[in-house]
Amino acid sequence: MSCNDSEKSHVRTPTEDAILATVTAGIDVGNSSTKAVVLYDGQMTYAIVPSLEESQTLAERALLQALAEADLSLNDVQSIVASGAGGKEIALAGNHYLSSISCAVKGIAYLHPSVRTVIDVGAEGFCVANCDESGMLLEYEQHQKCGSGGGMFLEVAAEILDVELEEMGALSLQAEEEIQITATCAVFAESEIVSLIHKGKSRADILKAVHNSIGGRIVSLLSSVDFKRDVACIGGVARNAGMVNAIQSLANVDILVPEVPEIVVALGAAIGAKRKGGELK
Amino acid sequence: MITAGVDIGSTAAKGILLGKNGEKPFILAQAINRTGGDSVETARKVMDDLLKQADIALEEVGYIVSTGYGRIMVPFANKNVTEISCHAKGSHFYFPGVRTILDMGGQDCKAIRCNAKGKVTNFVMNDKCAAGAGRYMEVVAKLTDKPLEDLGELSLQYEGEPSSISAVCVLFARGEILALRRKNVNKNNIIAGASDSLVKRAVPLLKRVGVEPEFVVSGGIAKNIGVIKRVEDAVGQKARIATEPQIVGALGAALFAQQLLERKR
Repeated sequence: MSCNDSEKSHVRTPTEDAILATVTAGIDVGNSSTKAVVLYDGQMTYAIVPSLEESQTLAERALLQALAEADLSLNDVQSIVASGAGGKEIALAGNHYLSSISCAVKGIAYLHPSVRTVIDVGAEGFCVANCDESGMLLEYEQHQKCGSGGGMFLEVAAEILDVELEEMGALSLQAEEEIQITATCAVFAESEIVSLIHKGKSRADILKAVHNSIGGRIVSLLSSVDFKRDVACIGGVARNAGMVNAIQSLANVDILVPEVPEIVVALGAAIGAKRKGGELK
Repeated sequence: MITAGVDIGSTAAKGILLGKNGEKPFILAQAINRTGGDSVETARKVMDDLLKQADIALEEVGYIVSTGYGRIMVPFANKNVTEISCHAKGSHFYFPGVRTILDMGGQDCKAIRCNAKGKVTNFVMNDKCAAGAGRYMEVVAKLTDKPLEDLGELSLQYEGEPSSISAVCVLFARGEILALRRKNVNKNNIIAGASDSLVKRAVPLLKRVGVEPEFVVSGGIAKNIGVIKRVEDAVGQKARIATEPQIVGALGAALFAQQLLERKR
């Protein structure tokens, strides 16, 4: 898929953005967590809250938290854009919405302009996108038909293996034996994991197999967009060292992970809001 | 002449001990156990159950056919036959007029067409995704905190409209069900919505092979009256269900065993 012209016409370089110097916010209402980013005077604050309520409430809570971090109030914000699976029709953003993919590339270009391909792994699926240094979206593909390529699959595995989500990646790096999970469906993989446990396979080996299974699906999509260096991985799953390692070794490329990988889409939305704000004034 | 059929499914292991009275085969013993982590052990246990019930020794069983997902893991079987052939064979034994079978197992869903002799002429299956299989209902039972056996009845007792639940992926459905539970939505409406989405995945398979009467539903899910009603509505035909639909595959295997033993003699 390639992006349309309206997308291109909104593109400005990060330097131009800085000149506009308004207080803007981006809210990314995801399936698993909701993220808000506030941009002001070239500075940034953020908040992450679990997506356990309806979208309007979540969006407001995340934004107020991010504003509190910046010592600002809602009145100070000149422009807000929402994004993410639950980001359409967010009243707080005046229904201004940008797709996760376009926000992901805007956000990554702001943080790391050298990135040409970004992998965004969310709770329910992932997408890969090529962009230029100004954050213009060039091409993208997504895997959202089923949960076999998202963070939820990792959660299922963590639960069966009784491992903390935060620790599973590191543990998978201690694997000694190469084993495979053949099922694509996460629910079937669950039974496969149980039988691997019965066979006496170590948790580290099973976890590595889980990461490789998801990683394989990511890399096959990555190859389909003809990825270019630098390659970045964003989204909460990017914090998982086992996942990043699996993608790195399967695609044979170094993966860059931003300091706070889960807020890149919200940051991109805040940048999008800045453009919107700039145009309005 | 005694033969046995052992069906090692993904979720349950089934066994049938078959005798013959003149020309007519009859069931000597039947067993249904949960499939454990070790398929060989699971198979042994089913066979032991059968032998104990009939009070005979393994040596007295003339021929054993294994079938199902774990059919190659049955060390004492003389031969293995695919579950597709076995379900057709078993269904044909119960309903000689059968032409179309929907076999809904724990980990796959198959639509099978057979001829007047119970021989398979065509089939399609979904074994890649849990959204059309029994495992989905287990997930629903767990998330609604209801016994699996009750889901069928409960799915017919909803108020107003059933909840709308994704038919795309069980993981997505799981997230949606959790959200509905947080909103305190009537559990029966959730179960009804999940049953709708399960059937939405099974029916296209049937349409691909074409539904010609008689139409039989076999496999563990055939015990779920809510799913059966929905399938019947969707294909516009009444479904025939065996007294114990879960053992149809094992019965088919035991019937094959009988044929093979006779041929040997």
